[in-house]
Amino acid sequence: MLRNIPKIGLVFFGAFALLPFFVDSPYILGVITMASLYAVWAMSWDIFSGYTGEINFGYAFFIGTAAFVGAIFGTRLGLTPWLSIAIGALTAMLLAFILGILTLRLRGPYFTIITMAINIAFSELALVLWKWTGGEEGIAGIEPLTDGPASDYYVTLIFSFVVFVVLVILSRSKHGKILIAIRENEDAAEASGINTIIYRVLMFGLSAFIAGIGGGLHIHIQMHASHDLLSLSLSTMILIMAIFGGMGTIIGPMFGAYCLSILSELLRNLAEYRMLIYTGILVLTIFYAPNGIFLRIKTLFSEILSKIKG
Amino acid sequence: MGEIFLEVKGLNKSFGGLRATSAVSFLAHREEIMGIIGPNGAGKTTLFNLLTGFLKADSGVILYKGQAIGGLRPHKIARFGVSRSFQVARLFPNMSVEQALFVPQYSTRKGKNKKSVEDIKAYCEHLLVDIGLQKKKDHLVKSLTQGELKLLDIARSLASEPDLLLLDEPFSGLGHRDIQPLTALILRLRDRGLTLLVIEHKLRELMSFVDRVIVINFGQVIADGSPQEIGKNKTVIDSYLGEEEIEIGIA
Repeated sequence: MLRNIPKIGLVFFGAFALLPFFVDSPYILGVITMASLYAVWAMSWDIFSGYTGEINFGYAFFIGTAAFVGAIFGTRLGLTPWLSIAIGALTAMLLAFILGILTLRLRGPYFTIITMAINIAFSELALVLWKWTGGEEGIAGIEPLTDGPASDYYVTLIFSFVVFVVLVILSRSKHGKILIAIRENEDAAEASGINTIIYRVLMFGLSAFIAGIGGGLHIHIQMHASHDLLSLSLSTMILIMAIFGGMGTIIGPMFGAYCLSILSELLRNLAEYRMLIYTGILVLTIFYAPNGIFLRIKTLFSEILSKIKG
Repeated sequence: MGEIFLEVKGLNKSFGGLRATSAVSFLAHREEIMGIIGPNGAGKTTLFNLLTGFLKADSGVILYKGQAIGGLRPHKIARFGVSRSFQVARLFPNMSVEQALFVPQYSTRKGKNKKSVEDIKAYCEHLLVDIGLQKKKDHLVKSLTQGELKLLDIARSLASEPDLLLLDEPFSGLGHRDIQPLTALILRLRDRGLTLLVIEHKLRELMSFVDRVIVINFGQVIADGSPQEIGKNKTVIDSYLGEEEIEIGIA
């Protein structure tokens, strides 16, 4: 099974695993810690939307819901971080199953519009329920996950690596092929005996569960559940990261998320223009690397290598 | 005649004010090849869509091996052993030809044992030889010609190992050179125990190998009989065949 994992991915994670031995700046470790969470979200978005072709435009709904449920359980009932993360992620998965059963029979843009509408509605609802969610301030005073930035760094990096390995294995299994078949032609897949709705609902649930764990980790690392975790701009950012890296490849969105998160920090002085810059990157990607930047770079390297060889 | 495999009774389907099928009833027997003919828009493909779950009938009964399958979703009907090809091939463009055939093999067919990866590969390779696309097995589906897509769609429908196969205009887009081997394959499938329903407009070719024909016009079955009987049927001649078809030799 592990033979199927792209070597470049192993090198990538290996390099990040060694980084704290050479860099001890909490700021840099913090940037990569957040990048690992974005990578988790981009990959888990990809296993559903990239593989089934149903674009989830409201992915932050799952991240934010899991984050706030976890935060409420943690702060009000005093549950341990890991338990509240699990409860938050399971809530997100349950909501995904309900939403999936209700909406995944729809075809075309309807599903995308509904996910976006639900994201916006729940973001507003969180403001209405400010007594529980803290409104725009969010929920503060959340217990830290570990004892410092280096441990947080490794927790998120290991989680990102595990998600990468699991999703790559899943995407290359027969179930991954079935998901691609559903994306390519749903009628042909149904006529071939594939229960396309069950597959999509299960993948939607898995995608939400992983997003939820990421949301839970985020609030315990930040020690604060921000209302931004339910924002449409977070959904859009994850979508752009996945498209930039290369939808339907798992490794592409992972690569895209690390690149754009780090770029985002480099352009910190231009924070208010971040979405504008991201949109520009998206447009350029669609024009010059429609299959994603990862495949574009890979192809370029292959061409250069074959020219060198002769 | 063999046992009754498919029994269709009083099947009705309307789209708004248009009656696509009206009280359609017929029987198909085991190891029988049944042709379904009729003018464009007569309701032939609608009938296939009703039989395979892509459309729900307004009323009527579909019994497959005595079991009601009307209203079930397409994948459930496929798992019972009813498979179909489409008028315009529906496939997986970015998969290889071989991988496209793996997909039906991944579904769990009722009463069939799960195959190993090697067995699935061997089975699909055999299918590709049958259909004449073995040289294209590593090509992407989207790189195939229209005729090859049509053949692959038929292979895809066979890859779910059906007992009842519905072919929607299998000869359209094929040259004369491809039609003969496909006809031979259809006859071999019948000999292997399959029952086939075939919609086709190329009547001379169709009539050469079918056992029975039903004729549909304006959503109704207007004739049911052997190719010879259909060729002499006055109603069919008047409404669909015309004298020219009789002359080209279907009678």
